[in-house]
Amino acid sequence: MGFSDISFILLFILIFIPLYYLLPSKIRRYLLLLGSLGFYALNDIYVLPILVVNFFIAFFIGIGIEKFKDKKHISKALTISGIALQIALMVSSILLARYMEHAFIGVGFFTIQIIGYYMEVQNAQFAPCKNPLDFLNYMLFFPKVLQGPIVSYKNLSEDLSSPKKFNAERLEKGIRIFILGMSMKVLLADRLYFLWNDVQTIGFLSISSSLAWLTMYSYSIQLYLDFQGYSLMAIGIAMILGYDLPSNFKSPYLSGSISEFYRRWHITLGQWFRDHVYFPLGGSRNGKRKMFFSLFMVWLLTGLWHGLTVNFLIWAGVLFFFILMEKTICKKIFNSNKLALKILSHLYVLFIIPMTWMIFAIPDVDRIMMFFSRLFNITTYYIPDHVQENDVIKYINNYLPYLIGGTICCLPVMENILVKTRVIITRILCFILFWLCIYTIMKNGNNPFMYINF
Amino acid sequence: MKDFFSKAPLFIFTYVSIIILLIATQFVGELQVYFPEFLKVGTYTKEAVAVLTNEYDNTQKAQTTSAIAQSALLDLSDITESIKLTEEDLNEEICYEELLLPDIYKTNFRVEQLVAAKRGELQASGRGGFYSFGKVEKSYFDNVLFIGDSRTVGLSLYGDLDNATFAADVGMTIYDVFDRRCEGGGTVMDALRARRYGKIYIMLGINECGSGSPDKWVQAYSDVITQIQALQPGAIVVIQSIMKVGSGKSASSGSINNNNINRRNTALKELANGWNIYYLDINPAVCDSDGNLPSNYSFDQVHLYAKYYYLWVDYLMSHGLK
Repeated sequence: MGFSDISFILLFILIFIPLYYLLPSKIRRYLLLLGSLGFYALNDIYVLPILVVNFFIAFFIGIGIEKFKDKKHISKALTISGIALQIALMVSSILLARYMEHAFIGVGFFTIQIIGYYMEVQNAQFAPCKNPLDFLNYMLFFPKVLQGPIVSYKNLSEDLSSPKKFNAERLEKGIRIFILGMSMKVLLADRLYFLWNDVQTIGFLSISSSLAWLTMYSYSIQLYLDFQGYSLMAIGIAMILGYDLPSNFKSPYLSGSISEFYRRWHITLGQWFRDHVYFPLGGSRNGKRKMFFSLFMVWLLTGLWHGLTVNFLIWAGVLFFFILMEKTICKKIFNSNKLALKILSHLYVLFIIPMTWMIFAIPDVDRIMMFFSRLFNITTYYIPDHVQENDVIKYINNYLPYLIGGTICCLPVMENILVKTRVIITRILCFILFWLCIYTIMKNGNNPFMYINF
Repeated sequence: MKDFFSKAPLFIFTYVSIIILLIATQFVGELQVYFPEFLKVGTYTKEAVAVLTNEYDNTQKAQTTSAIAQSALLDLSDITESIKLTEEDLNEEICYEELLLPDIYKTNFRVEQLVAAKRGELQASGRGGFYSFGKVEKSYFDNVLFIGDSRTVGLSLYGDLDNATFAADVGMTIYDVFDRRCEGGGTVMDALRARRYGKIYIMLGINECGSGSPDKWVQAYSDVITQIQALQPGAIVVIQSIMKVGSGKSASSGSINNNNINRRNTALKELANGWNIYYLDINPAVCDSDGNLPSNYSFDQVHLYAKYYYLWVDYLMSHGLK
């Protein structure tokens, strides 16, 4: 059950929020826990026992690390075994999910937050959580369990132990952010998904070169809107409940280099890898060799974290190559202030990043090759078959509004209008968008992908 | 530590809530299955089709008949020719004479009804069907109308059958076949009114494969055929079997699986009457020896890749009505 499911929206708005603010603030934390448990249960109830066991392990290891802080080797051993246990849990649940119907939703996000927690306690950045209710609420906080944002315990602890009082302004801002996110996902990303699905159904060998380019950019827009939409919904929900989650995107497609792109795309993940992998391994201040190694490890782990298939490793490898290049050989170009070079570097990002998304999106290498052979119209190795040269026209006709809307949403303009401009007109606009989303969700059945039509 | 154990009520609370949720989700799970059905906007009702056809019968019959009359001279020669040929085989000269009656010439509609009745008569008297499946040329599809869902849309795009007419739409079901706007504009009704067809090929059923009972579904299918025949009395309806899905899809998807498809295909076979409704199993064209769609033929295990539509077309051409 995602945030754009009608049952979630109904349960959340009609029951959860009123109940949450009507109850005295002491009980609110219990209600939040109940809500989180319910959210997991509605997705897959069988994951709850794992969560309970995992909670006990993480809770006591956290306390243990602090308790043995004078005996460095013991606390270090605890941290390492905790991390190993957590990774083992993630890998086993990913592998098990391939053979079973039950999946541990958001296990990647869950894992790295617990690992981060151990490492931060070990480095004495903060005292471990000693209140089981707060820790459960941090672990299971339902707005962030599916797709992040990844948030450190440190940033949530204050709100968790003493939830903020009701504040109408916060509530409105939260609702606005939620509606913006929902519109991005429901009205645009979920529509553009069908273009991507159609092209895959046709088979990459039978699409025209121009359709391949359209697909690539459409997918890039769709991926951003889907992920950013979901993150905004999470941030909005958390804000409605009185919690602050960090923002996850900052108009990444407007970046001037790929390293900048990844400082503005999935920000919380990038920061996590920076703080827990890049810096501990040496980072960029201890010579080139260490920089090379830590950068390599960051991207290797990023690739593995996204999924246990080859394409993610290739994807991460390509990004590692380009980022390394930007930091070494081409450093001067990307630091230059010349307008022409700035424009060129922006175009370079808009050229390379969508291609890396195609590697990201296609799980098998043979099909990646097929796609790129059509993209550049190379017919020597993969021979095109039944290509309709004007197929792109049909897709432009069908998807143009979504593509234009999507492109606009890649710029910060919508956020400025819908969230930051608090006038009556934008309030009305939010209201319209909300009901448009509800209408679209109802019309297409609950989950647009589950009830896909043939 | 003390802090932890003083929170015992919390754990009781957590466990109790997990147990309650465990029980509750059993119901919620069931609710979710039915929930989308309640939410569907613009669902088809049988009445809607009935109204549609009724309206057509009463108000537009005259109009259509005159339209038919215009194309009558062209098409009639075709029909009489084929009737004549088959009757030569059966030594039935009377039928041909009946066709030559001048007042019947005026409305092709009546001619076709007569031909259809005659065929039925011959069939009933046990003198065999009129057609059998055999190899045909591409021109065979000149007077073919294809009705179907996304798979037929795919056939129209990648089957190289430019001479055939298509009335297909992604997501079409047997229940909403007359309600939908087809790919490229117009409805199935529009296509049926536009001209006379020799053969009407239908493949529907994958979308609604999981909902409703096979009996009701076949009844709806039969009703659709009746309505098509009311508009196209001379045309022969060919029911294509529902194309099967890949083994992965079959195992994972709750409702769209080959067991359900087989059950419905078996029921479909019964609709064939041997004279103006035929059943054609197209699965031998695309399936592997286990009776599944091979996984490398399809991305989603439901639709053929564009480059494999020729398998279906070739099969139709080697199994044309002759």
